[in-house]
Amino acid sequence: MILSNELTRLKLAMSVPSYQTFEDIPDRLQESYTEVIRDFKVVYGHNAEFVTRSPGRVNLIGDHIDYVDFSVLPMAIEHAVTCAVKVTPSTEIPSVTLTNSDSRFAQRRFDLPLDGSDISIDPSVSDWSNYFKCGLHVAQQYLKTRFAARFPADTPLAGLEVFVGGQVFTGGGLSSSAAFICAVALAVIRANTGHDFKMPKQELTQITAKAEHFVGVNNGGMDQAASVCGEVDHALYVEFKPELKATPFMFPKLKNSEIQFVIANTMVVSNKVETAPTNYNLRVVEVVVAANVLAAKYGVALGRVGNSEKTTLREFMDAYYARYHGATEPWNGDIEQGISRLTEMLKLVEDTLAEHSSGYTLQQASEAVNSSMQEFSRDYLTNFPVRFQVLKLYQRAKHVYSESLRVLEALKLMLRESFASDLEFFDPFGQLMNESQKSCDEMYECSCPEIDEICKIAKANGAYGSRLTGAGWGGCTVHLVPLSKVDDVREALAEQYYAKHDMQGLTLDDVVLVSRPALGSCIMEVGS
Amino acid sequence: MTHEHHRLLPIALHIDNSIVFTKETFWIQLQWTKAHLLAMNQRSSVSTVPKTNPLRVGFIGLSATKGWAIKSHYPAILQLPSQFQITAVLNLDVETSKSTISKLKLTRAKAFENIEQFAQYDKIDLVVVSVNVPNFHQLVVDLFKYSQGSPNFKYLFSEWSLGRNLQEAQEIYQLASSRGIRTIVSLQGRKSPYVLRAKELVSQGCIGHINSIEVSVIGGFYGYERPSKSPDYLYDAESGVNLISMAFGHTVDILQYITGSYFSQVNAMIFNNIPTQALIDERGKNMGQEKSKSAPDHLLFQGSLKTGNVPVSCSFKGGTPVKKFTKNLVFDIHGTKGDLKLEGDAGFAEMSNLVLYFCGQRPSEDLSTSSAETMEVYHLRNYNSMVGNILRIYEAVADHHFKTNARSKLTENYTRQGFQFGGFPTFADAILVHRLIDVVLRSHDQKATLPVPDTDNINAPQDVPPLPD
Repeated sequence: MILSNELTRLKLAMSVPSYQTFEDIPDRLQESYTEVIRDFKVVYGHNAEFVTRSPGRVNLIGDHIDYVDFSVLPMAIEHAVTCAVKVTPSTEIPSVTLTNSDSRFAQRRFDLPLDGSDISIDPSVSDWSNYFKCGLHVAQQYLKTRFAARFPADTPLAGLEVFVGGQVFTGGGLSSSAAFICAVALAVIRANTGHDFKMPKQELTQITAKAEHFVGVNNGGMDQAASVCGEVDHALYVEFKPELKATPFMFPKLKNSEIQFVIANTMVVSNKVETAPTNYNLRVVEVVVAANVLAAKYGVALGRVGNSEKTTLREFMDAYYARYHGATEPWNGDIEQGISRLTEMLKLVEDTLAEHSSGYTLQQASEAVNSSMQEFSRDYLTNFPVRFQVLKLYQRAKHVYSESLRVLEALKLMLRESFASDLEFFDPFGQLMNESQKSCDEMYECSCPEIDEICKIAKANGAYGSRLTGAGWGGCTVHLVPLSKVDDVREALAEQYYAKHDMQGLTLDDVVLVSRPALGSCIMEVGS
Repeated sequence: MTHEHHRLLPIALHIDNSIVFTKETFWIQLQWTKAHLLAMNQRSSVSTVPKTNPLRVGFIGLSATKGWAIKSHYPAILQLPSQFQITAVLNLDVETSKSTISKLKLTRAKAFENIEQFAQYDKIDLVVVSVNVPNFHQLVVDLFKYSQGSPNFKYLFSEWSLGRNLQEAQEIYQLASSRGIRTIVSLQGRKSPYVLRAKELVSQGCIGHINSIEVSVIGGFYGYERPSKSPDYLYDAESGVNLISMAFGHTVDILQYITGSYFSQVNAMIFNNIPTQALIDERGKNMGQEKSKSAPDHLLFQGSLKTGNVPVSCSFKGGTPVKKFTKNLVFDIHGTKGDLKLEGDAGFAEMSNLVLYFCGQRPSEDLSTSSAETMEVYHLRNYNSMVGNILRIYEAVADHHFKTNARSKLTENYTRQGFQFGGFPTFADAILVHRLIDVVLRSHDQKATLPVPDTDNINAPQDVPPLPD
């Protein structure tokens, strides 16, 4: 991964910040730090050694395109997962004890295999410790490859006592799972390498990007990049091709107002793992099949790249341009070139996939990629559990290409030096967000009635753009609001939405967040 | 999902075991099934760190260097160290136990010289027996004999099968019953996520009524070749460890569990067409030597399920050479409204990673409005089935013992799992499989189709009823 400094004057730190004393810790983080080390002591009876912290994220625009290798615009938020950790003495059997501040997540304890082998993860069961094991697993692989001499293959890592505090809603679409996994991977590496080690952000992102695949979610790398590489007051432009790359940038300065993104939780819990066969993973399959149907139609050969190693819609775009337009290089991310190519792709989608706009049955999809139903099942359906009646290739491909196009337009707006009036930013950016929401709802079918309701209320009370964020099917929404209108939107949501919904004991401040772009992962040492 | 789950909970808890399921209560039963499955698959709120002491495990047949237990039971226990703690190890020689204890750093475990001392050790709550089947009967008889005074011995967890034959198994079952301890048997196929998903789809009516079933399995050791290091007892017809007890036993138990029905009548033919096998070395190279084999190398089995008189046709191939154009394990279940197929590359469904294919009616949790048939492919790429299925048995025992999971509470008179989703298989479940195997052997000897004895005298309070019309 590359952490690029090209869009900000701030000199970016290339490794995860590590604060050695309490005074070093940024003011905004001191409270959560104090809280989690206090809770650790209550549970375990002694002090923690260090705390790792990794934030949630909100994606401003570009949903469900990261696993197709198209770029996205997320930002880290102030809500984060914290892990207070103590390394257990090496004389004991290496064992991991996990305690969570949230009582819905019961205490866990498991021993690490003495022969240094991988801990097994059961993806058929929904268990919060599985996410810990994902972080542990990738950290172990990292240590054993990067420091092979210090961590021989046949010896276990250190045992840990861990207290997990967190304010990121689980199932809220703010990527609590990625925040947790990044905090854990960082903690495991810190626990085993000591307090001097500087963890490169690029490597932490790299190793955590696909960690969730071990619990059966075929996600892209957006959430981890945002959680690790977040910078105060900077959103991120995250690219996946030609290389995984995160570029922090600041929002444009407007004349009379300040840009704010308000996050509102629908309170509809959306668990990516539990609904994956009909939702998240099915979408991943649909876009892979769509890419292959397009490739078959236009007679281009695709390599085995991407999440499922069966190609992506982005690769089809490159292969098509190579064959029909003599493009010698794949698209390098240039905005104008991207806009023109994506526009062309949308035409091909109409020409090729619209004839089955009600969806492809298994048989129709198999025929469209010139294979038998058996071959089709083996090639496309056995990577993760999936269940469907039809594969909606037209709608999914249309969403991916148009959403990728909107990200480029949004980035152009974000990078513009000046605006004649503030509306020149708010109107078009809001419009892109609204179009994105419409596409998520109608084409990708990952919205839900509660999201629609919140978006409607927000727009009627001062939001220029409103959409779901994250995977969808519940979770959170994000709204572009000028600072002066933030209270209006909050109050309207309180009266018109939250008053009618079960708040599950939470206050308005818990469910409506007005967050500045926040710092990414960090380590805070506990002084002796 | 969560909201719905809470809504279902009271229904699940208030179901009276004595309810006779009719068409009208079918939907309640569906919800009952669903709530149980949710309880099983959502484990975040289930603590694995109980307030009380862990169950102390006395392990017979755990060796750090060889055998089945180190590959399955031990890694499973590693994942639940607050609920299970190994306190005693017994092997054929005490040195094996001592070196196992030191290699695995079982700091609280004591090595034992013999079964007599082991059985009298008062720091054992759960005895796990993982030894060769020919040694099993005498060992467990002695365990019961010498443990008379041990007040803490509450659970006995044994590998399948419970002895060389039905008679040995019955004796062990009687001993355990009269002792009043809770028994657990490693029919771990019942905990395979693939088997449970198949059972779920069948019980939700997604394939309608079962019309017919075909099963084909490869047994492993009983082809034209055998590894030179493989122990001789595996090839001795009298040892009770063979294609029928292992491949057929596990497979047929899984089949009955998925369909929710026992067999009513069966017919079997047993073959020994390969009386001598070629020995191969570790690299699979023929060593130019032969050894004799009295154990069967093929089983043809057909029968009908009690529920719906469903025809079941099975062919169990002994071993090498493996099939070239067909998977080594196939369960093909045909229904009036859909089909369900389980496939595996290895022949043993109870410990391999499978693929489930389903096509048929929409499962009840599927909210799609499309009118097309539902297609599902269920495969967990990273699932370690060797450890995972056994781990799930330990979890079920822990849930019961530590009362960690109110929703998976066992009934008071829990004697066997029968066809319930929750709980764990017991010796009573094992006896039913032993009885079926006994009918298979008699059917072959008598060249006749035979009825399967009624299951009534082995009580199962919560058998899932057949689907209504």
